[in-house]
Amino acid sequence: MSEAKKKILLVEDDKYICRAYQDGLGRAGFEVVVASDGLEGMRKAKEEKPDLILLDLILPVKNGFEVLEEIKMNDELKNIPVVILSNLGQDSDMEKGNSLGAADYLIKSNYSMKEVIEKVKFHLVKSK
Amino acid sequence: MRPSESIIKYQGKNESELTPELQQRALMNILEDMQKDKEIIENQRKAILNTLEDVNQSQEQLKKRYSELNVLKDLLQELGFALKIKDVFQRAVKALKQVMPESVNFAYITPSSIPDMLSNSIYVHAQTPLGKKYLEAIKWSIKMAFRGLPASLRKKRELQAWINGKISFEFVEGERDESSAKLPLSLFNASLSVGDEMMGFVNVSSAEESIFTQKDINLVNTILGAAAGAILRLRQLLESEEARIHSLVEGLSNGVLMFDTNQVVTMINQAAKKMTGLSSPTFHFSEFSKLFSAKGEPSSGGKLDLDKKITEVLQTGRAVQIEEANLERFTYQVFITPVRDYEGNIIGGALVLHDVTHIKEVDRMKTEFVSVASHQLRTPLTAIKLFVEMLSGEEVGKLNADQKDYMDNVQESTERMIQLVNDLLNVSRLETGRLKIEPMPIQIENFIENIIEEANPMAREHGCVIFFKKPFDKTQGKPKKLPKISIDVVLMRQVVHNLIMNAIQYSPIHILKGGDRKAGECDIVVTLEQKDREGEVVISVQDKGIGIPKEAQSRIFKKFFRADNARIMMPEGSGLGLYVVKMVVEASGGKIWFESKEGKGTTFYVTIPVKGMRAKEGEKGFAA
Repeated sequence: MSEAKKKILLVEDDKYICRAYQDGLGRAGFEVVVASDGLEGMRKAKEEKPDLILLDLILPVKNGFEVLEEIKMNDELKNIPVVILSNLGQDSDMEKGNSLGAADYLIKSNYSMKEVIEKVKFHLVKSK
Repeated sequence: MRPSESIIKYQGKNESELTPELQQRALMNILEDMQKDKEIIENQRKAILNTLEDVNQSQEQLKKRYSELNVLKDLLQELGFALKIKDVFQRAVKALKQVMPESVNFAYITPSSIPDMLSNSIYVHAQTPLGKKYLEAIKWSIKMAFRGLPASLRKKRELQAWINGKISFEFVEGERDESSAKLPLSLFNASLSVGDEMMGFVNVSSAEESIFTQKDINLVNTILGAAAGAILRLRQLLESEEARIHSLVEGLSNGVLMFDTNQVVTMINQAAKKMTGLSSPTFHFSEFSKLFSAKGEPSSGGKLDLDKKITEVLQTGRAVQIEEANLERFTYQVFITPVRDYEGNIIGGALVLHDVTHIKEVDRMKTEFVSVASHQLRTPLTAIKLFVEMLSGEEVGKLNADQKDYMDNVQESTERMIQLVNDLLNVSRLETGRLKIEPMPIQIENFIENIIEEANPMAREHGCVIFFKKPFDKTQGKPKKLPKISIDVVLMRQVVHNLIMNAIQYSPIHILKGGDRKAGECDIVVTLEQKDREGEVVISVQDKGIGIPKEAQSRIFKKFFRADNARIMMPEGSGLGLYVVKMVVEASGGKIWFESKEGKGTTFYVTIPVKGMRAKEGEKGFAA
């Protein structure tokens, strides 16, 4: 019996990167929902209740850290694993992500699509 | 000699010829002589005793004189610190007390300090309780002595007016006793003046009669005279020094404050006044310190505890430097140092404010720029990377051989660019000196084993095997365990990882038929050892790779430099790896060097000081 497809919420403002992850994750068997700014990201998270959130940090309207904080403060959403996918890479950013409760922090340009998919699968299992 | 013998000698006669009378007379003469001798000896003894007594007395006098000189010397030394006239007198009285009989009382006035005197007082050092009568008598005596001063004495008229006015007595030592009817039956006055400047009067008195000798009076005058001269010279010297320093400090663009051991600010220069808006001196340091706030110091809740810092400086005698202290819109570097007297005792401190607002601003912009630039560059690179990967993986359609080939090229170039951006980011962080070094004591053997494990997959791909030679005790014939050493794990990992990666990547791949690599062709040996007990720890990475050509060896650590053979072997290298490694190693207090032969192999050596890596504050927070 096949399990229901896992739902991934992708919050990313660059349209090309967004399309790339959407296609790649889709082909890997996931259902992908996208948001292109922080506010939309919050809304979709509440509406869709995804199994995992891929969150960019530099976002219009509301930035990634703010979104992360809000998610963790929301009882319905706080247990969804959030993987930060950003091109900011300072130690301070990573520490902040950690302290706010992110499950992982990946620098986009350092990870191939395959590697990202592996990470998603890993964190989905871990969060069960 | 028997008496009879002497009689014979004396008389020159024979024993038989001597009559009893003669014998008796001879005896008497001898006795007389003996008596005379005895007297002579007695006189000599007396003379010697007298001389001894004189010597003794002289010695006593010398001792007294010596102690007086000592007192004088101490006084003069102490006067070095007493620029206030009142202090001067106090010290002079202290000296005088040591050379005067015990019951003597001292009183002094110091007209020189009139302008800032809140009360017109005669200061009294009483050895016995004194009553009103006694005090009035002293006052009267001083007044009289005053009148006797030459008219040419400076300030005489003001002093005259002052002394004729209301004067009260202030007991510095001793107490008032209204019931005492004692009068100063012996007294004299000595003035402390140099040239025509009148510094004050000392009245020396006692309830006992005729207690002072001329010698005493002379002694007091001498002491006071010497004191006066010394004070004058000192004051002049100090005044000119003070003026010089004052103008120097005033002219500084840095703000300078000086404070004493009670944390009261004693001096604040023009620049500091402008910076803080505080103007009057002699305020407590806390007025100053509450103006400042700290950046990012969580424990103090954002407030910079300058009070704590200066207490620390005053107590430990060690200077303190604060990288960032914020005052309104400005940022300052703060230096606090102790100030000592000539004996080395801490008598206060100095605080210097160095405006670094502009520098911090530029720094911030630079960091922001690097952050933003790297982010901006990475974004399109990511898009390219992902799409090329999916295209190349034939996820959206089959590719022919040429198309696949082209895709591989694009992919490789993209990876190069990504790597370059990463390296530039690292270099930028290192170069702006904002690199954090946080050493922690760890077991280095385990640390290296971890890095090797991480590198193994890559090594296997290249057909390499990494060996780890752990520290070995030759004398005992068994492995020895190194003590824990403080190193910054993140940085050191980068160093060792980079060296191992280089060893792997620059080892030529000889794939034999069947895909097996010839054993031993790519052996990488990582060695960890400590030369002697207290010696440095040395990590070395040895390969059998392409080696570094002689002409490239001197430039191998230079930014962006790549040797020709390396460029051919691995075109996508950035030339930043070793540059970064060297910077990190040296910033931590270690050394790096290598041995290499082209075509044979290379060994890189890195040392870590046994005291461990030096800590360094970086981007986050600042000195606590």
